Amino acid sequence: MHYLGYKNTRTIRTEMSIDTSNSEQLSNFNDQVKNILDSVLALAQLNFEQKADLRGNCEQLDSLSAGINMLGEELRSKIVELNEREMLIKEVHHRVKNNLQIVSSILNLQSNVTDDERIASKLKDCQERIASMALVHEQLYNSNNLSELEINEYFGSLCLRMQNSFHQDKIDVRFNGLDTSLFISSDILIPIGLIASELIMNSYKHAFHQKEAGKIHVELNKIDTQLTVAFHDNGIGFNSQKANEQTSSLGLALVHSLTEQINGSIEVTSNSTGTSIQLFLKL
Amino acid sequence: MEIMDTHKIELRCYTTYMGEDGIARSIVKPNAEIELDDAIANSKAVNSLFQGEKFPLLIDSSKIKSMSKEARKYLSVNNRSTHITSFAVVVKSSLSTIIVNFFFQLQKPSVPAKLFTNEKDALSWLQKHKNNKN
Repeated sequence: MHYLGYKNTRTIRTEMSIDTSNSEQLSNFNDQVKNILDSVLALAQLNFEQKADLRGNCEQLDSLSAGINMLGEELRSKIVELNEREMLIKEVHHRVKNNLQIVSSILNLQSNVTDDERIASKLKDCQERIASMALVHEQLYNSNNLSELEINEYFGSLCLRMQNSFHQDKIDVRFNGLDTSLFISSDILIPIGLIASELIMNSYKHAFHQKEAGKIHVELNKIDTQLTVAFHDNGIGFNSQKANEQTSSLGLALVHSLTEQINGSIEVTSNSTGTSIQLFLKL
Repeated sequence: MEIMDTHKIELRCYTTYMGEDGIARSIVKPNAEIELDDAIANSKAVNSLFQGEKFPLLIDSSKIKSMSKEARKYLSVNNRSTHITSFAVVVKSSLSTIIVNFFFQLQKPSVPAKLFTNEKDALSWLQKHKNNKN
């Protein structure tokens, strides 16, 4: 139980008890005012070593000095606390990324030892999904912002990573980002990254059978508060009606479920000249 | 009634004793600069006054010069056992008002606590908390 809601604070008398005709008193007063201002300036520069003096000549100035010194102590303690918390969050992101990479490596090893191509392919899919999440934690660990990531930077890295992972020279992945920076919370970016990785993976795996070369194009657009992530490929297409419905395929089921999770919507069009999928999201 | 000197506990920054009215007193010495060790020593002195029943405490801080952050934190009575039901702090100068306000506003005490500018009002408020068991 606290009584702090009561009138606990007291108004402080403000009349100064100095004789302005006494040059020594006036000089001491000015010196102490300068000392207080220097201490405030030091605090503004986060220099906590300099303290304001309590000289015993003027009670009001001593009170100001004491208040400034205590404010400095509290500020210093909060800054130390914040720094420690920031380091802890970074450490968590680092460990999550490392653990996800371990899981990804285990899946990779498992896929290498299986003779069943279908199982190996499913394991590879899971590996890609995990890698897209690990990328979020890696970028958060390396950035100064511990909860949000710049979407262009994330998508750029994701596309590059997937291109390296599938290493199919005949398929070109291009990414067009936003004209301006946009920071998005990792809570939203992880599902978006998973959706993107699922759709790019689908194009790689299914769109370019019997084709000499292919293009996958990922594009971000933002109009007012609506973000659109568009995926295009010039592959052989598929039955888009099936893709717009809830489906038994894990990949597309995941896409629908994650879209719902971020309160987004998805639109799929596909024909024999390619597939276009757009993810709409209100920010 | 004058308290016999032998019943007073004299510390570097405080004089502490139990009043005839069952309210303990801690008087901060003139120009005291209270550090954590002083806060701990006075806390022990206050607790040594315990005789089976919790009691309120009056702290006269009117002549204090400074109190370190560690001492402020310790004296807020958070996360430690105490024999006091409540405490009132008396301040008079603007310096003591600022120091004690910092203590009150930033370190939320865990027992009822209030700031006063005169001893009479403080004692009257503490009387109401004499039987608090917390």
